[in-house]
Amino acid sequence: MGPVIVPPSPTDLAPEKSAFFKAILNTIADPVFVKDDQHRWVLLNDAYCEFFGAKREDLIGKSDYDFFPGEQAKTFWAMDLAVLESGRTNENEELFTDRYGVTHTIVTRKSRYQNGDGRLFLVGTIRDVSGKKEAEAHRLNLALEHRARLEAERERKQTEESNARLHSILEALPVGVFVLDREGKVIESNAAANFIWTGGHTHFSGVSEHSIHQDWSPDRGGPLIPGDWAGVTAIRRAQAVLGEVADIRRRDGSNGTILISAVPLHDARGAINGAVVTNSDITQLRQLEVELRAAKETAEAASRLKSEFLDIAAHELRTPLTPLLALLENGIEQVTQNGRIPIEQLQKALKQVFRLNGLVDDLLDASRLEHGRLVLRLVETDLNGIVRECVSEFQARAPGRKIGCETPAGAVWITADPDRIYHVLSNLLDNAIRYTPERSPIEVVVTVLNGQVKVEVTDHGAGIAPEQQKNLFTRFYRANGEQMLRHPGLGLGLYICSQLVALHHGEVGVRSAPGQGSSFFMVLPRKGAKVA
Amino acid sequence: MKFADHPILVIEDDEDIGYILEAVLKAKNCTVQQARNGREALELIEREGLPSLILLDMRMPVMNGWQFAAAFRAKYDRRVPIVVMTAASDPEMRARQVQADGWIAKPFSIRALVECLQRHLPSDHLFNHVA
Repeated sequence: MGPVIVPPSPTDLAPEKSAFFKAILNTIADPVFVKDDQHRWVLLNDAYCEFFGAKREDLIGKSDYDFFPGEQAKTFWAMDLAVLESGRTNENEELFTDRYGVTHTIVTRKSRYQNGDGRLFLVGTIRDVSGKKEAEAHRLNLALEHRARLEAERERKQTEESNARLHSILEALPVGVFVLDREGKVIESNAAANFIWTGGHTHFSGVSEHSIHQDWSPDRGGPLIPGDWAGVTAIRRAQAVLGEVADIRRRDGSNGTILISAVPLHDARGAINGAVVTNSDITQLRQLEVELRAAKETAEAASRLKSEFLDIAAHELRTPLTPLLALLENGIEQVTQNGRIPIEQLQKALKQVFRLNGLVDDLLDASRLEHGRLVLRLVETDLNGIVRECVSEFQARAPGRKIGCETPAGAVWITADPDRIYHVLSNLLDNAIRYTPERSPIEVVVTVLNGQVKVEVTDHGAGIAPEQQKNLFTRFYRANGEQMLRHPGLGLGLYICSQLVALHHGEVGVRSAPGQGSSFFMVLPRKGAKVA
Repeated sequence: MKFADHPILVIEDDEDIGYILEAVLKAKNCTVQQARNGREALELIEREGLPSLILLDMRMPVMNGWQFAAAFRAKYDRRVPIVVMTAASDPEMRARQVQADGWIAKPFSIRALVECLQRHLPSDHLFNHVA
C-alpha cells in the first residue's frame, strides 16, 4: 500500500520551483530525493547532495546511468520502476561506502507520488542506521559474550566435576596407579600406589619411575636397569607391558611381591606422551601360593612316606616268611623221607613266627595309636620290678653282654599298663643291643625325681648325629644307609614307644653325640602325682 | 677249600635264610658256599675261584647286591649267571637294575627255587640229574 496521496493544491503544482518548499526540504537531515518517471532527479535536498557527494546542479535532470556502471544503474532503475508501477513503498537496507571510505548501513525508502497532472514521481528518503546497527551489534556481542562466559563457566564446572570424579575413582582404586610423562617421570599417583611403597605418607610426583622402583628386584633376578621398568619399556616399545612380577623391599624395610603392568598413552595426534603404570600388591596371594605349595609338598611327602612304608612293610613281612616257608617245606620232606626233623629247624621256624608276630603287633599298635584306639590297662605297679625283669630277660638272651641295672631301694609305684611299659623298655634295650658292638656294655638306671621317675638306657655305641635325633621318634623314620641295612625294621619301634609313654603322661627322649654313645630315657609320673 | 665242579654261591645277610638255603641245596647234592655280604663274596671268589651260579640278596650291609653285581660284572663280565632273590614289590625291575640273569621273589617255595636254578645253571650241571 502506498502512502495516502493528497491531491495537490495549485501552489503545489511545481514544488521544484517553490523556494519555500526547497528551504523546508533542506532542513531535513536525512537525504531526500525525487525522481520523475524517466528516472531523472527532479528535486534534492542538501543532505542528499552531501550523501551523494555531488552538487545539485550536476544531478538535476541526470539519472543513475550517468553515475553508475550500466548493469548497476539498470538494477536501480528496475527497482524504482517496480515502485512506480505497483505503487508499493519499498524499503531496502544496504551497505554504503561514502567517499571517505566509511561504510554505512542505510535504509532507502522509496514511494510513488502522483501529481495533479497525473505524472508519477518516485520519492526517496535515505536514513543512515549505522549507529543503530552498531548499537544492536554491540548489544548482540554483549549477549553472545555473556552466553559464551556462561558456557565456559559451565564447561569449567563440568570439567572440574569430571576431574574430581576421575580423581576420586583413581584414589579409590585398590590398584596402585602411576601416570608418567614422556620422559618416564611420575606426574600423578594414587593412594594405593603410595601405600604400596610408603604406607601412604609420600606422594610421588616429578620423580622418575626408576627412582620409585630402585629397591625392586625383578623376579628373574639380576641387577636393576632403569630402562628396564614397565612404564619406560611401554613408552620405548610403544606397546603394553603386562603382568611383570617383582619382589620388592618397601621403604619401611618389609618385603612384598608386586604385579606390574604398563600401557603407553597417546595424544590427540596419536603420538606417545606418557604411560599408565599399575602396581598390584600380590604379597598375600604369593604368600598363600607359597603356603599351598608347602602344604602340597607336605602332603606329597606324607604320601611318599606312606608308600615307601608299604614297600618296607611288605619287604619286612616277606623276610621272615622266606626261611619259614623253606623250613616247613624242607621239614615235611625230611619227615617224609627220614621220619624225623632236626629240632634246630623247628626252633628256627618258631623264631620266624615270633618275628612275624612282632611285626604284625607293631603295625597294629601303630594303627591303633594313630587313630587313638589304643587302650591302656592301668594298674598300680612297681617300676623297679618291670625294669629288673626286662634286664634279666635280655641278659639271658645275650649272655656275653654286660647289662648293668641300678634301681632305687624298695618299690617305685607308678600307675601304668605294665605290659606297655615293659614293651617300651625292651624296645630301648633291644635297640641298645642291636646298634652297638657285641661286647659293648649297657646300663639301665632308674632315678626318682620329685613327682616323676626316669628310666635311662645308656649304651657306648657310635652315637647319633643331632640332625637325626629329632626324627628318631617319627613314624616310619629309618636311619639311612648302613644302619638300616644292618638292622632292618618297620621304623615304628621308637614311634610306638613315644606314643605309649605319652599315653602315660610321660615323655621319651635321647641324649647322644657321635662317638659318645646314646642315652634313651623315659620319664613317667609317679603314682598320685598330678599330671599335665 | 675249593669249589666243587658246579658250586652255588649264596650271598645273603639273613643267617636263617642262609641256613635253610644251604640245607635245601645240600639235600639236592649241591655244593654251597655262603657269604654274608658282597665284599665277603668277592673275597671268597678271589680265594676259591668262580662258582657256577650266584644267588644274590639285594639289601645287605657293607656291600649290597647292586654294588656287588657292578663290581662282579666289572671284573668277571658275564661268566657266571646271577639270580637275584628279593622281597621287593617288583623283583623283575630289581633284576634288570643289576642286569641279573634271573630272579626269584621272596618268599619262594623249594620247587620254585629248584626250577629257577635249573634254568640258569650250565646244562651239564649235576643238579640236572638229581632234581
